[in-house]
Amino acid sequence: MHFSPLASRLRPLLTLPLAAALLSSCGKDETEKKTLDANVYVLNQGQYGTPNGSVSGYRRDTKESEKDQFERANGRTVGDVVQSMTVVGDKGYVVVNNSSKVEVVALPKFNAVATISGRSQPRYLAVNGSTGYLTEWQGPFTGYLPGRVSVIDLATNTVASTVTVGRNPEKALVAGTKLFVPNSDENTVSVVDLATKQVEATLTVAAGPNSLVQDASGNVWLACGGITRYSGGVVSSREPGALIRFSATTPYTSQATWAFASGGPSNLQASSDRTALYYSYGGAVYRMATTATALPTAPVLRRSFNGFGIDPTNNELYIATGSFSADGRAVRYSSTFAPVDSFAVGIGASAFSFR
Amino acid sequence: MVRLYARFFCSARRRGGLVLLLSGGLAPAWAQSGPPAPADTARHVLATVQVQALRPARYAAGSRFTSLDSAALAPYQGGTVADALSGRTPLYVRTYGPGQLASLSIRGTSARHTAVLWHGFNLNFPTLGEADFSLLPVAGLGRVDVQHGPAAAQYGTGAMGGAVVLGAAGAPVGTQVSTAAEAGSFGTRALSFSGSQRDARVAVRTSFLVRQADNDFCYYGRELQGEVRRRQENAALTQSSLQQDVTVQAGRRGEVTAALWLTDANRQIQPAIGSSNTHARERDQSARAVLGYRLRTESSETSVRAAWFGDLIEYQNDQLSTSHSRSSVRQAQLEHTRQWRPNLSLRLGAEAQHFVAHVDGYGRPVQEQRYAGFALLRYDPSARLRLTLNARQAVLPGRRPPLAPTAGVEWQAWRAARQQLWLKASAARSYRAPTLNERYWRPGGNPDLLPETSRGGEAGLHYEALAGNQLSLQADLTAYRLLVDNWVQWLPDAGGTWTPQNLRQVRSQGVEASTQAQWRREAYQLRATAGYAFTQSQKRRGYAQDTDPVGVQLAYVPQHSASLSTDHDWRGWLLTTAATFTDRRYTTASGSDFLPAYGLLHGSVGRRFRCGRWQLTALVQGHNLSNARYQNYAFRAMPPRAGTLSLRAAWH
Repeated sequence: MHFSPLASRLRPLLTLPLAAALLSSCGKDETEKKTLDANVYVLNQGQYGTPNGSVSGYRRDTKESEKDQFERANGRTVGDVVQSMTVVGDKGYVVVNNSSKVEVVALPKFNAVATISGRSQPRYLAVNGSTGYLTEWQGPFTGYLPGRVSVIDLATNTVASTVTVGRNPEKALVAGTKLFVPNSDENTVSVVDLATKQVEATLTVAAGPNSLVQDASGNVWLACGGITRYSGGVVSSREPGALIRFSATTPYTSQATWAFASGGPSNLQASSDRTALYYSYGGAVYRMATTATALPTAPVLRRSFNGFGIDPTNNELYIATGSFSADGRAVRYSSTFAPVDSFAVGIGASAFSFR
Repeated sequence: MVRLYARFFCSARRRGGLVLLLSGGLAPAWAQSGPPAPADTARHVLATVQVQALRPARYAAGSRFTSLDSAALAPYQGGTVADALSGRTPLYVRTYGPGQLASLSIRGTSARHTAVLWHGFNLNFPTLGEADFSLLPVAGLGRVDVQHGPAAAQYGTGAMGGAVVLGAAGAPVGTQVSTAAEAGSFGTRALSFSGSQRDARVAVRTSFLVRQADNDFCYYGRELQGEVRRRQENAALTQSSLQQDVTVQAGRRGEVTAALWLTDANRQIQPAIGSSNTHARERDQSARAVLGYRLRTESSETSVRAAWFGDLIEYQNDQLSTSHSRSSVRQAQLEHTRQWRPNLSLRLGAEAQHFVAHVDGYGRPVQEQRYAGFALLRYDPSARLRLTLNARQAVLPGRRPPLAPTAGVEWQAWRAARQQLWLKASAARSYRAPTLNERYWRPGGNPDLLPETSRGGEAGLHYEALAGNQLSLQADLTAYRLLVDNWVQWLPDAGGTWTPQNLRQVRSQGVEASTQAQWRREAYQLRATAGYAFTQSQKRRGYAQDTDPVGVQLAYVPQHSASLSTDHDWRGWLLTTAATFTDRRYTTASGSDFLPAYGLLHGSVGRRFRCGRWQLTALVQGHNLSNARYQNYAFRAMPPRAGTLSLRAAWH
């Protein structure tokens, strides 16, 4: 075959894309770069269906931040929908919901040391000694099945057993010798005995329990966010939630219930001395002393946010803002809710973890 | 679509704390090389039976087109319009994987700003307001014309970035039958058949395609142990398409046309690298039927067309019960064209559409009526000057979008014996009616949403040269600017419900260049086409609740893209090459993450044998010959080097 003069003149052009392809395929290996020695972590969900979730790091003292510690340390993204992170000693357990896994990282370097995969819509990890309890949802939307708690040996990062609980278990609490699992698509809390790893009781509470804390006097506080159900796209029922205090020991007697007229509190957290509670409700953050006899009427902070965290070392408040299409920002407030700093974080910033 | 379901899914799970979401080419007016003749003049109108090929250029002076004719489409007979556009033009087709959702955004707009037309009717899903080009097989199509810019407003809603006009293949006189079989890497198989028969009174054409792909190619991902090689899971597909056209001469001046297009696709939805395989599947079925009557006289043409388009989408995965979406449009168009003089014609028309949708997310059946009237004027004051003036007024329920006018001019600025240079310009305003999802989704649908509008202008040059009988050359250069107002964005409202809002102004500007050369010497024939686009598209203004930054190139809009294709033919030997370059693309609205640029090279070698009335063609095609590792959409694996062998037998 012979090339025409024109064709041969065009030939160099043909190689251009090739050259570009070669250039662009030179992969960068950044795994050896040093990550920021952070002590505040921002969990950025990323875009659903795309594993561009991230964990941003921040240092309280120097106010330095790093947008994606996991990517920087490991040369890959952490996964699809970063749901939560639990810090245990020098390990971080990053729960990645739509990647069905938990990434175990060594802190503060953030290098991955293990991946606990094959989980079902994992949500939060609670820890007792060297055992982790991972809440997982099961079944499809509109037809959720009872969820489960995977019992994980943190020494080997393997699943030892699973315990079936109620639908859509959320942020569980280890208190004494029990694990309290709030089943958010129900009005129940499953109580798992830490010795037998079996459900020993199911407590009936208000609708939509989602998070718990234990206060300084040992009582358990439970936030129930309420449940709104839809049928054919329209609201078919609205069950309001409540803030509930009950005893951490059998028979788990309810001590007080503060009902909400509509909706309910979520993301319950405690102050460092466990004498105050923080929760979000209706787009604002509220603070309540554990000795209070009524719900607070005014929030401590009202502004648009996706999630908040209370720094257990100094009661400072962090909020996560931004969209699910662009990088967001986290804002740091003092323990008296005065703005201190803000820093860039990843897409879909929604939660915090502290070290 | 996947994104849309994701959004739905997410808002549904929000309570649980899971707050997430979720050019090359030439105006057909110049398509035939040779002395310039005003295209589509009255001379052509009075042909004998002709399958209605709605060439878009007649009332679009000054507009830019990227066209793929039957020769350019030939290598893609077993593929889809997405494959052809991404392989042969600098247009950026965003795809979630081979055969997966593929959407086209022209001039830096979004997928819902591209109108896709077949037999004059818009075939975008009315629920989503966009088309999936992977669901549109090339088999049965004769040409694909892309009109760039808002001047495409003559086609109605959504043509803000431009319009894609799918032209049915013609039926030549006599009888033709052809069948082709294709087999390739990663379990790709295709079988197609087409046949046509035409005499002075009747033209009939049938085409059928069935294709399958396992798409179990290998890709690389990074995991705990470092880079690992994985085989793609859950990306298989089966697809079929049937087209049937009949045109019958009715009396001396009339003709009746009936056309039917059925498509069916059963796809697994390819998971992202690093996301869990939730065994997502999607079933898409579409039926489109058009019945038209056309009456021609010496100086006028009247046509009436009625159509029924129905679409079904079913999506499910392990985390989501099956989501059903069924929609249909009954629609009618009436047009009257008056040709006063050979250089002056006016077309007046009206259109009515009735939408019915049964979508799980709406919670109830939904109906909507839309109407539009339009006037198209073409006037050529001299052989060197062509003018068009169009206007379209739509009526939507509760809302009246602004008048959509278009003005265009082409002027032959210079002419020599074998060369000519035209200057061209156009300006237009176009609109996009809110989609049914945007209006009726529950919760979140916003019935008060305003139509998006765009204003834009373009200016450019068209050059053509004929060097002897051997070489012809055409080149186009266009600069444009486009401003989209009331750009719709889904954002959570005060109560946390995701709802679409008119939030933004987006500005897109750029340059498009293309050239096409044909060279013939004895038995050798070469055709080469090159195209380049520079696109700058940014959000310019927004509201406080829309936190995405201004002044950043929009996600998935490459700043530079280019294509170069060549077709060689020598004594029955065929060689084609197609190379494309796509610049880096931001994957987020903040411009903080991007996918690296990539270049792809495809090619084919074949041999054509003639034996009496039979013609046999054997073709070996190679895809991604440089074995580039690339991603078109973030974290979606794309196939490495692959091959296809196809055999085609034609009888005429």
